[in-house]
Amino acid sequence: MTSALAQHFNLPQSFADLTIAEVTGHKMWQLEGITEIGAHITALTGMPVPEIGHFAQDGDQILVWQGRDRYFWLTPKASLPEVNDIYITDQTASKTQIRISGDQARALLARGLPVDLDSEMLAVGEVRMTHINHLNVMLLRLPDKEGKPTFELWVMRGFAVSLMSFLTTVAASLA
Amino acid sequence: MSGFRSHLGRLNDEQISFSFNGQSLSARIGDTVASALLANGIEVVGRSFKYHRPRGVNSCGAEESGALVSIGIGAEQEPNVRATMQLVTEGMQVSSQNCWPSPQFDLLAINNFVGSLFPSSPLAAGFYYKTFMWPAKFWYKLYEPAIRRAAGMGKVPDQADKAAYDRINSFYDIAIIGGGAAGLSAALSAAQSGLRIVLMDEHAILGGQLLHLPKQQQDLEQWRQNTIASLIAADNVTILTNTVCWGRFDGNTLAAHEVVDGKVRHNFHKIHAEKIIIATGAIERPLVFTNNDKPGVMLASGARKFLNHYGVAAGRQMVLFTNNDSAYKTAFDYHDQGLPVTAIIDSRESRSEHLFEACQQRGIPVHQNSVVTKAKGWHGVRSVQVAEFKDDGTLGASHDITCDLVAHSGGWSPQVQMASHGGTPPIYDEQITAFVVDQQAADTWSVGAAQGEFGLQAGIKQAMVAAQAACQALACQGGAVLIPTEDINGELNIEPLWSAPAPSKQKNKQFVDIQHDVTTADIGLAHKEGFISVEHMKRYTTLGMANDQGRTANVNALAMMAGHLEQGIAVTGTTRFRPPIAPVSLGSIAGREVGEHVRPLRRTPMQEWHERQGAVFVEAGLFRRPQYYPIGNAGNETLDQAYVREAAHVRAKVGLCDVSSLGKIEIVGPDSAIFLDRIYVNLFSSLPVNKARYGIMLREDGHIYDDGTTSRLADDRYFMTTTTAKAGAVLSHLERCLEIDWPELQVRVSSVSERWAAMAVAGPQSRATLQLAFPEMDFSQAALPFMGLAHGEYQGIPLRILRVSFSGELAYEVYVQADHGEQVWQHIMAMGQSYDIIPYGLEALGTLRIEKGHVTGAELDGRVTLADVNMQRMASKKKWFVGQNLMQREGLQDPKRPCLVGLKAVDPQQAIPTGAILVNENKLVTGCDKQGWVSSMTYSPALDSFIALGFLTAGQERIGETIYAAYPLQGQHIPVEVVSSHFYDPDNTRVKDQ
Repeated sequence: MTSALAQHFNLPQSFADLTIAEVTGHKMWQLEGITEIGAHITALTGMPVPEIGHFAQDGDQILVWQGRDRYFWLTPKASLPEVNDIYITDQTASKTQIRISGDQARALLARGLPVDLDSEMLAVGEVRMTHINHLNVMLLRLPDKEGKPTFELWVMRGFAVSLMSFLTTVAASLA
Repeated sequence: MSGFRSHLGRLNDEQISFSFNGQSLSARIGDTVASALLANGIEVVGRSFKYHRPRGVNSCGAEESGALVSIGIGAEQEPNVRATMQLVTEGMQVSSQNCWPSPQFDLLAINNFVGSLFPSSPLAAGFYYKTFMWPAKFWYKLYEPAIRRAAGMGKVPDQADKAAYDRINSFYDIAIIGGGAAGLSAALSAAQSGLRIVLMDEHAILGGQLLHLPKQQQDLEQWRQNTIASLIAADNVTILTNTVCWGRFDGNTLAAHEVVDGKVRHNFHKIHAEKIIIATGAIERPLVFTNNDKPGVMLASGARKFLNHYGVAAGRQMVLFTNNDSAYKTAFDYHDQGLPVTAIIDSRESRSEHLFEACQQRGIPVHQNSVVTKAKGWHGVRSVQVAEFKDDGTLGASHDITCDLVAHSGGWSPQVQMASHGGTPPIYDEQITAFVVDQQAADTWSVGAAQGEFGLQAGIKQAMVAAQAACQALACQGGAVLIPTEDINGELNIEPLWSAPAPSKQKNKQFVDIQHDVTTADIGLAHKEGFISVEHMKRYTTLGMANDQGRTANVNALAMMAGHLEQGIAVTGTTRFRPPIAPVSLGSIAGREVGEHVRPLRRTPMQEWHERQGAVFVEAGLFRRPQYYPIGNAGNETLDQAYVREAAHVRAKVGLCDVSSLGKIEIVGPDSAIFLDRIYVNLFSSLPVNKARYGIMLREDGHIYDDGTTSRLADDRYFMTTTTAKAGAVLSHLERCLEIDWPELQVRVSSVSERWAAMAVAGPQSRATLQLAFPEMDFSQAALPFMGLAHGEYQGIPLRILRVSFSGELAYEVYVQADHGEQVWQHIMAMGQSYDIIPYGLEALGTLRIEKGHVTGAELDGRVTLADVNMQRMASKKKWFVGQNLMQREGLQDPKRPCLVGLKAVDPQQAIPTGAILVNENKLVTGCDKQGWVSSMTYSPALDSFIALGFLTAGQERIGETIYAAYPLQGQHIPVEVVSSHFYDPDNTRVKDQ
């Protein structure tokens, strides 16, 4: 198995006050329904359904709001049982997850993301669908890692190399 | 002018070196190029735009219109830099512009003298509209290059700029533009609210006109320093110096340009602010008199700042020329530093007694009711001609006064650009003879000198009130600001003087816009020729453009036009300001979107494999798809050789093609079948599970939108593929239909394009190859017939395999999770070695599909209908579908519409150019009817001939005719035979029967 970035970057890459890494090793399930499916989602994942613009986290599992009655569930579970009223689509490897952590994480992301990254405007557990350098991305504000602000960008797999190249180029000039 | 360093001002004693036109000079840290050049006694910095007149430093700030220089050399060179805004750094290389061989002696200075031979200058306003007309063929090759060489500014380097530029998004509650006393006060007041504040100033040091004051004015200097220290200490305040806010846009978005000394050259800040406080101050206006452009003629405020901040005397002997009180301070400061002030020339009738007494105490002679009529000297001022200014506007007796510096002031113009960008029109204020902002726009406050309040204490109070109001609007409370005990009187007591009368019978120029060499005569010419609207005058004379954006020229020019029109300035009005108000580097606008980041590259999961194989790529949207895989040493095999080889090989054996770029959409829900029946022209509700079907979808207007295969994974789940080009658009179309047209349908659609790597295995040996690669699956005709779908695994990796064919051969499409794409691809290649498998690219794919008569984007270009591509029978009569109604329109039913045909070159070795026009005549003649066009062309190894697909009027009735493909751009007129579009295996035996 080869991630989109594996042949192009030695990851994680560290810069002054900044680390850029790829997150791999779990399944990405798309869970969606036609009508209200919150209870079914919770029954399947064991996690509370996140509000609009949020994600829920439980250990190494994340349940991310994706739109009306649609969620992404990142979990180690390699297969899922069929659940009434929920359509499950395997989206593993469809998106590349780039994790950015460090005191300069905001400075890096501000050089592309038109999103207010202030803690009060984008709190831990919030998600934004936005864009950076012409690429559609999803932005997650994760809990601080060792006291450092931490974010994830989810980008379409095919654009991952372009985005990582952009991020590492900019990061190098911040150092 | 003989500038020199008289003391240190606010700079320290640390010296650095730089060069000017190759001459090594010294400067002090904190010097601008302008202050350093003056300190070194440099008078002539460059030459002017049109007339190549000597130009020197004429201000000390953003309004500089004379001292434009180039910084750096080679790829790093930056032209047209205002010397007053550029800090000197160690080793900096500065050079003059628009002069040859040197600024002291410039051959094109002849332009200046040519004018004196004619009644009006041949280079007067609009000359390029009236001259260089004939012959027309000279426009492009002779006139324009010659004019460009003679006129203009610095040269743009032709090497790629290696510097880095950043675009930065930032968000603040309150943005304060301008770091003078008002801006500092507003920031300090707002900072106490805890809100997020940004303070921007275009200079390196905050303080605005406080920096014009002598450092010895302890109270105000201490206030400035304390205020800045408080702001620096506040966590919620961001200070951006060397940052000019150059535009204001919708939604309180500000664009700012920051000059950075670091790994990045410039930053482009895109600032989103809830509230904006405009504290941009005011710019001193020049007085207009003959030869007012000479080195040594300088705004009084500039001369004052050079002296007090940089410790540089702008000349050794000053004459001050003014129409208001403010400029007197410059004369006093020079005098108090021991620098001679020969005279003050005051055009006013009345005088301010306290200033007059101060002059008497210092022994400075004051000439009331007088004007400077002319500056004398060539490379710099050596004397001025002063004349009595009579009540009727005429001149009386005149005399000359020796000087090398003419400090002048025609009043002050509030900087209203930011308010104007926001839609607030400036209005004329008779009291200060300048334009101000009449009303406060929503979320915006204009304060201090920017609002016409020139008093220091009053301006600070105004700023504090505005900041508190802004904070209150954000449900917070701004704080108080300590008001300095010392005040600066803001009363100008100005008497307008828009231009001093010229000495009689002299043709010397009076400049209104020094940067563009626009004179009072040009304003008069614009009026005479009917360009009397201020917008027309601006464009006709080119006044108010370029670096300084009319900061010094606009009001004088408007007043002159008002005079010609014999109407008031308020009635005449002003132009609307537009961004950018200051020079902005293109690099900062591009940011990181250069080189490989101009646009992102979309990679397929097998992209690295293709690159390692030396594939030649072709752009397909954001993808770069393998066009062909040359064999032998790189470059030995041409495109034409390669695609013919690859296509023939697929027909004979087996080939593997990366088709991951296809759009892939998962459709789920109990109403999925109904939904697809409406989307496609043909039925999909009848499609069995594990079967695929080719489908065509129309736009509502009845034209074909896209095509592809859709397979049924379960009763309530389908897997749709789209063309590469339409992948995103089709998904949006489906979502729109569900959200707006048929919200009652219980269907969800989602993109799985990135989830799947896709590869086409095509050729007579494709079945054997796959059977060897995936032995646990059954690829027999019975188990996996044409348009069948099978699921399997390879080393635990799920596979989805469709038996579909774009090539016209026995073929399959293998889908696998993207992260395993290359692994599976390599496995198929390895197993296929037994059958001599090769990879094939987009070009061979095109050949195969054209031989087969399959349409693609070249044919489905948004203009064709089902009937046009001979697929009208696909339209189901059992159900309604999108586009069904409008496809019945008369125009779309016309039997004479061009329809798809095959075209075969009569001479098999003669190519048929794509895009060629189809005509009946054997030569292209005027009036011949266009019968159609060629949409795709290839050399067919199967037919050993060039073939093409095209659209021909009533084409199906014309099979067997010989017509002509005309390509007049290359003088080609090629006979072609009209044939069926199914060149190869029209009965599909190769696809179905194996």
